[in-house]
Amino acid sequence: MILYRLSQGLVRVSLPLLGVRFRVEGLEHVPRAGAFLLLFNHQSILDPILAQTACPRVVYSMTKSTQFASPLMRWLVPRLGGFPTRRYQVDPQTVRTALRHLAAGRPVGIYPEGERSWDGHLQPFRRGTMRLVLKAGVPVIPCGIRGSYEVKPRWGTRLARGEVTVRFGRPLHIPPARTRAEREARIDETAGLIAEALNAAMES
Amino acid sequence: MPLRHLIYRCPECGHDPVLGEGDRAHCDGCGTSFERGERSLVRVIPAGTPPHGAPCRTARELIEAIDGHGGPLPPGRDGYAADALRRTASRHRPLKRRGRVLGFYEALGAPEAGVLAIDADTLRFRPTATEGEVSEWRLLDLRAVQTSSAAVQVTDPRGTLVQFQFPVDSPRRWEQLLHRFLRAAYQRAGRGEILEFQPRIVTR
Repeated sequence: MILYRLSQGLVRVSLPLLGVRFRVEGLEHVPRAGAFLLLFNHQSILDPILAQTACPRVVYSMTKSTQFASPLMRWLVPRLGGFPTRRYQVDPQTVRTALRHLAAGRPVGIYPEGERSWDGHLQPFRRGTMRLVLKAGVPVIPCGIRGSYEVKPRWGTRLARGEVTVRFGRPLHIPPARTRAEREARIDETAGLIAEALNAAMES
Repeated sequence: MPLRHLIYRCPECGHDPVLGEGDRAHCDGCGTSFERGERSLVRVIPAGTPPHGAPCRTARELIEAIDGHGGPLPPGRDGYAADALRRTASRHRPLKRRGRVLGFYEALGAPEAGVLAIDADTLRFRPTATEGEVSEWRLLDLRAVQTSSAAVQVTDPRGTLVQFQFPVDSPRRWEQLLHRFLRAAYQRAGRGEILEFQPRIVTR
């Protein structure tokens, strides 16, 4: 993961040059070893870059499959920890890859909203992500990204100056669901719990 | 994305469409101009007034104002059409790293220009080329709907991804149109309330 670490350094150097102050909070909540799920809010195209730069561990992130359209991206994105997910259909391979990373003790990053927000507010979570949370049985770390919407909203064409804060919240220990029926029954409750923690990480 | 993707209709007078490029947009109905202001605010400049000192509004306020003018469908219309570029995912290819399949990505075909139209029951694409065949999907047969960057994607009854990009129109409008017409079609057919639109349409 040399390229991953290089890109982290490059982003840290580039952001101030672009007029973006970058702060990271709550690093004490990031486990030094072992698997966890890192769930981010998604307001801006910058979020994946910021989140991966902020986290001291190498994060393997679900990335929309259309990002892999060009040969360059197919070469680059996997080297930066990305693996494809087809968002327009149920994609068992994505779940298999995520669980494989977790089983190997690696962190997996997911944007549970599934796409960038138009207005900067947290959107409802995808139920598939909640199913994965309930299946994986690993700590869930809410990671709030604040300020990226002001720097580059979905409807903006240029970067503005500003401050971006990535804040890792306290790990949530959500007991795994053993059966499919239990998973389905606990989706809404789990989503509520994570949304509350993510909103807190975004606001504090 | 340009500002007009967020403000496809004038939040002030309801005129449709709003035109513009980049971080500026203009309403030909009431003469109001819109431009990206400080942070993520949009400066709303009434006709004949200088930009300096014009009031700023949040994206959420603008979205609510557009919804107050009837949402994605222009006044007095029960269907809608716009120029579009269609691309179809003919195949799914595996993405491998170190001999393991990370996931799958789609190979999108060549873009085809035409007109995309929606009404109460049908989504229809009529290619501009005279030899092009009209494609038609019953709304009740669509499996999923989502926006991806500047495109709207639907999954057809065979599970094929069909992507539409709009040279002029807003993908946010089209996502909202599809959601509105699908909800109404499902209600009329007695299929229940739609809970989510991707990775597949799920009803309560």
